[in-house]
Amino acid sequence: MLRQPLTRALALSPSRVAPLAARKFAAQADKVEVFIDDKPVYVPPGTTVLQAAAEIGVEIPRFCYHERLAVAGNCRMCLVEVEKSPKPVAACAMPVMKGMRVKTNSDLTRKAREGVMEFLLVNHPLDCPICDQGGECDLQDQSMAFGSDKSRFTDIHFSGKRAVEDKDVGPLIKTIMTRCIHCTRCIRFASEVAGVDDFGTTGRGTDMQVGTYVEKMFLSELSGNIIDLCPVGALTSKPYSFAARPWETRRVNVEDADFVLLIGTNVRFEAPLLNARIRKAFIHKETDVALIGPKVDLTYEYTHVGDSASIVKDLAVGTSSHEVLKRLESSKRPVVILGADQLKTSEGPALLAYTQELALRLQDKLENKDWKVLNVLQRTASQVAAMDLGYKPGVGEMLKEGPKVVFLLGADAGVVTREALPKDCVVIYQGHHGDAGASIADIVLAGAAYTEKNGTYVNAEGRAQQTLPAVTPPGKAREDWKIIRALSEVVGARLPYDNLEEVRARLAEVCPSMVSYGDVQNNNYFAQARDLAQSLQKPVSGTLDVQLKQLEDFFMTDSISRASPTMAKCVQAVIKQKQSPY
Amino acid sequence: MLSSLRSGVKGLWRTSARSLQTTAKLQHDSLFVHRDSPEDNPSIPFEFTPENQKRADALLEIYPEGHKRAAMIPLLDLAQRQNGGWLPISAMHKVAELLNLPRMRVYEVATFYTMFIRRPIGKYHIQVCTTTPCWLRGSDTVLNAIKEATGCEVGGNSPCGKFSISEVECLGACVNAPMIQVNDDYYEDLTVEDSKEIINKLKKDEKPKPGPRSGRYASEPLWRFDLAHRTTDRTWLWIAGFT
Repeated sequence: MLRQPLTRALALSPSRVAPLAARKFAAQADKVEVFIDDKPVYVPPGTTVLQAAAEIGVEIPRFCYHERLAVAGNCRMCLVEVEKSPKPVAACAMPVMKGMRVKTNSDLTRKAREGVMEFLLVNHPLDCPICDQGGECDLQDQSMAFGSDKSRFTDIHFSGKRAVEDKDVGPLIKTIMTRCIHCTRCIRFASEVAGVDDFGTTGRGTDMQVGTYVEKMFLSELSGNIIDLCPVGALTSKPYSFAARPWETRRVNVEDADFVLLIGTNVRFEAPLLNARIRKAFIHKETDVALIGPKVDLTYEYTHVGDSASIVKDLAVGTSSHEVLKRLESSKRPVVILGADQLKTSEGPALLAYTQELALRLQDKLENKDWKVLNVLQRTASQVAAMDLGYKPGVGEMLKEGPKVVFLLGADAGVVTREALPKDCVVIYQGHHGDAGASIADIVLAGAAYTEKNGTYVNAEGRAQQTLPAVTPPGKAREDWKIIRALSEVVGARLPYDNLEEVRARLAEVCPSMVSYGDVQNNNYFAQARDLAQSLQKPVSGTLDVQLKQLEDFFMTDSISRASPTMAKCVQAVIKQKQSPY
Repeated sequence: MLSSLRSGVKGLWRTSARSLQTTAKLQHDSLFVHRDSPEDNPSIPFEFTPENQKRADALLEIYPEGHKRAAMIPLLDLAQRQNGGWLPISAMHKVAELLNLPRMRVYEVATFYTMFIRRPIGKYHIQVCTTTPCWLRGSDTVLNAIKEATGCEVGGNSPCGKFSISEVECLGACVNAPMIQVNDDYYEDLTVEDSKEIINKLKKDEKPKPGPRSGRYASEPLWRFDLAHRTTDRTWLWIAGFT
């Protein structure tokens, strides 16, 4: 049922299938020759006129079309003249045909654009000066580029412009619905990517409005993205200073998988973008998903195998009678994702061992030896990099020895508590936004926040990325490496780094992957890991649990979001919505 | 209130109205957002009666697996009929549940079609056609007569709660203009007297005779058109479409 509307949208829009087909059958694909403004371009069949034009750098104006969403074709801004066609055609929805001659700058095309723009502006308020979108508004830009130079709008003394009441969809999104031009991007995003079908159009004709019909918060971990998606100022960021996450859905491993097994992870809240990709694969590529762990809402259907750790063992040794084993074994591109939280438990090593065994067994059967079956989903920020640098997780051992000095580097998870430390132990905390860690510290050294320093970040995929400071740190806060460098001088063991380059040079010596920005490093030592894992295989009996089960858990997962009033409002709003009958 | 404020402000500014941007209130007589009210809120349960549940199952049976959502409009209609002519929000939720669809998809359909009425209305829903042919034939006098007889305004309910009036666009019976529709029946070729009589009967819950009131059976010519005796060459030409 769920797949139906989308498969239909897919059928309507061959363009969405085209890139995939092109990738798979690039060799035998017969390309079609079309002419954009008399320039020939060769594209695979099924490409739309708009995409073909983009191939040679001709940009056709659009509002409703978005390359990551299904084609709606309702804004009509992309109308272009096609030779031998009696009327202008919508470039975003029209597949190319052999020898088609498209004129993107003819009189007819320009007249069509001007007409569409005039209709859009009839009901659009003239509040650009007070609109948050001003300056990055598609409507503003395109009315300058393609609109008429004068207005014929004289209805102001009679019925006036249309007004639509604003909606309350939560603390992140501010709505000014009078500005809406009905492109339906937000509706399609909610339905296709976020998997929360709460947006739609109600009414029709001049009374049509985009909204939720009932008072309802947009309950999604990806809700902020519709702010960026809105081409006009109808949906803007409510906490003005809150920068919405860039909505990027790169094509990675998981989207090509045909079977995904999730072990002990609520991937929806632990890695929302990864979840969006799994959902995409589920809908567009018939990928099936199975979950071992607590039953949670992942926004798509999946087979729930159970929540006992012994299932993993049964699957690994091949004694399980569950259908999932058969599906895994017959799968050509299986993916196993293990939640890293499971590794923290006492049964963690054994669970990892069995998961590795399962993954390697599946790997052996595959024709494509480069396919990566096993993925461990790290939940805590910077855990991947810490492991690469040689950091050993687990502080329990160290605490038992009764340390004299504990130096916390932004450690706010609450693992180290005052009670666990000797009375005379000095706790030093270095970081920003500190809460749990800073509150038990004797000395706090103010570090720069992520927006205030040159930083290196490694994502869950293992890709190193660097950031530059956007603002200067407040007060006496300093970049972290400078604090440690200064400390080393005080304690009489001077570190030989005087600038960022020297620090990074040392980083390159320890872990070269960490300075090759933008690249993904392949995991090595699988065989060794297998030997190691086999020695750890022992019976497991516990159940798998995850921390983040509900949306309200998602908004406050670290010290920065815990300190944010906006995120606190989000949690409040989710709880309020949970009590609402809608 | 907004409109009265607007006209007041307009009056003040009549001489230099150019500088003031105004907005129109919604032109439709129904809202396109839901407001909880004591009569219509999601905590009021809605279930199909056993009889209607059978009908609902039969409706769902018509459509193949994977296309069950096609049954949405018939199901909404069934729910509206069961609920006395209007569609409460819980009924929409029930239909969404039956079809295994997000509720929003049902709201979209229910708000798109004007024949789904999302506010409590009277037992008799009187739809008065005021499109050009009916208007030329006196639909204004019919509408006024009905308003007077029921004490009900357009878009509202009568004080007795029995009647609701809507002004509608063409209902496709122009040959028998002016006309009204009461629930599922057409009353055609109306005069003021006919309209009053229909309302008075409905007040007593008697069913007036549907169809044309002019003595016609259906939409045949009102005057007898005797080809054998009264045709002239000119009439023939007219029939053949030459003049």
